[in-house]
Amino acid sequence: MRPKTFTAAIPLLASLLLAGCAKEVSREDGGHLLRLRFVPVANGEPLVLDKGYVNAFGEDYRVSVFKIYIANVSVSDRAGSTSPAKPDCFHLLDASSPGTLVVDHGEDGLPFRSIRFQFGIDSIRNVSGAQTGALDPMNGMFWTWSTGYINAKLEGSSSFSPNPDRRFVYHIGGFAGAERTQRTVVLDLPGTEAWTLDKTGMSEATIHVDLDGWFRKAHDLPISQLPVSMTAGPTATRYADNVAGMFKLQSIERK
Amino acid sequence: MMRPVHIAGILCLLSGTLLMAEGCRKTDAAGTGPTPMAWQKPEGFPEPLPLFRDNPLTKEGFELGRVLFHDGRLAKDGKTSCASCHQPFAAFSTFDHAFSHGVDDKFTTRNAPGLFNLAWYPQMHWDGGINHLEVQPLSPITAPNEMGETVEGLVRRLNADPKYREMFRKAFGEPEVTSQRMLKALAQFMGSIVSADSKYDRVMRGKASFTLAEQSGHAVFKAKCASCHREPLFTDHSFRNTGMPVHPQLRDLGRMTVTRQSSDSAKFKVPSLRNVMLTFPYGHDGRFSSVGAVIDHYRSSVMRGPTLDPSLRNGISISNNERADLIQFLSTLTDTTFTKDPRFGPPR
Repeated sequence: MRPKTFTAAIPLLASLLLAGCAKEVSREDGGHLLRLRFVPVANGEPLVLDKGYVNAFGEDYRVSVFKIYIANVSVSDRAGSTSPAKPDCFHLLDASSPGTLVVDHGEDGLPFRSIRFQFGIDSIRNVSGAQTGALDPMNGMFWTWSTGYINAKLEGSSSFSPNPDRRFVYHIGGFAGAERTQRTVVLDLPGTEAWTLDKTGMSEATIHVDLDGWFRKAHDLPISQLPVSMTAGPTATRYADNVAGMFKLQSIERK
Repeated sequence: MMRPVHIAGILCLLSGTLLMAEGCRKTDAAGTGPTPMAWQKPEGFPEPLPLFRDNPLTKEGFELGRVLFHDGRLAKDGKTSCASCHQPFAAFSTFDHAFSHGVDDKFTTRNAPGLFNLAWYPQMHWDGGINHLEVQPLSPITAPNEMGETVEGLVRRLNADPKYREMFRKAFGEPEVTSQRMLKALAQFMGSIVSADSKYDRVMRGKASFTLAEQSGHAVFKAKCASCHREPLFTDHSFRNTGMPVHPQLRDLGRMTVTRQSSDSAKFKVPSLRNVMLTFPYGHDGRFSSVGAVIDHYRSSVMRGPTLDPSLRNGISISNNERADLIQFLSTLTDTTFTKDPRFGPPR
């Protein structure tokens, strides 16, 4: 049976808006929980900071910082109907802090076929003054000289970088017009069956975030040619396209 | 099919701290919250931005903002405050300085603007890079040549100070110092600094009258300056190239720095001319030492270029008599009521 609607919760949106986003919803607190476990990977193995990898151009690279904003998780059913995303739910994934890589998301009990979220911070939050929580400028993901969030940050080194200490530095942001770096990510579930979350349990989706894709996905962005990108603009939007393609749903299972 | 209510319940339960994020206020232990403070729009002024919609103005929030504004401990060196470069007696600009000096005697690269009537400013900075008053302080706080501090270090330092924790509790219901609360308090203070009691304002309200020279200066102003320096704020908030040659060392391209559009090259924000006699020197790099020098620039040294403001293609024709009257008129824009207002000065 086709679910009547995924938007039955709309009356709750007002209260959710006020309440903001609950960062952690523990299993004991209720069911219908979807846990997204993000696993940064490089060269097909879980990313180890400061370890050497090689990208698609044969360039060696070591990552010292990898941070990325995820927002507004929701799920979609077969007919394309999408559950309401929790408004203002922002998560800062930080490769150096394993706890940040787990995002718990409360859903309803309706079957779904894909998981959706947004990479980056929407324009509203970029123009609304001082924010807190995941958006606290203290997190180092905010440009103070030209207002706006850094949606993804990758720093490290490569022998192919012409910079001092062979550093590469990518701060990817921009929220207005053609400089927008926010992207929607849709990950289809494996197999043909729709997934239904248990009323009392939790399902865990493992999502790989493939660092190799930073340099080559929708666009070719070799380190030798682009060792630095630290402003909004056409280069940043190309990195954003690549980032949007870095996510891959590996598995979903009941816990 | 109904969505189970308990999920919303969980979210709400866990949202205690987040409620504060949305600007909700808790009452403190004694059951009394902060005292709301009125913000009066001056007669004849346009509607301000909704600065206090998500940041309700309160006596305690304003007072906290004032203490922060005047506290040198916000900087790395423990002594460079916001007020070090934004001096109340100079209409909150740096008196008689082309550039201000921040920590370690480092020079800034632009002239510190006066701070007043910010509740009407859609953008801050000479290049307009800052889009909201609340996030403005992050720039000088973290700039290595201004206050040289990190947001994290500052929040930690304030959290370790019981006096600040008490002030934050009074203003926001909880003693914990967060960057958001700090910035909202600063915005309450800065957004309350209104300059609207100059002689010009009193004349406009029918409470005083111009001298003949001031009156003819006003007529010259309306004919030749007011299209950009629009009354009553004396700015139209636009960005324009006024034909000042690019500084050979600083190479400051202004608005283009933040928009990356070549059409914005060498454009800078139109500054308000309120309190102009207190904010010398002038120009984004303080290259003009007097109001007369600025007028003379428009009379005879406007440099042509692809982004020069069309209205300045032939400079501005101003006679010597008009120049003298104009200066008389601009002198009526000095508002000592606000520069001497004890509410904006250092806390005692």
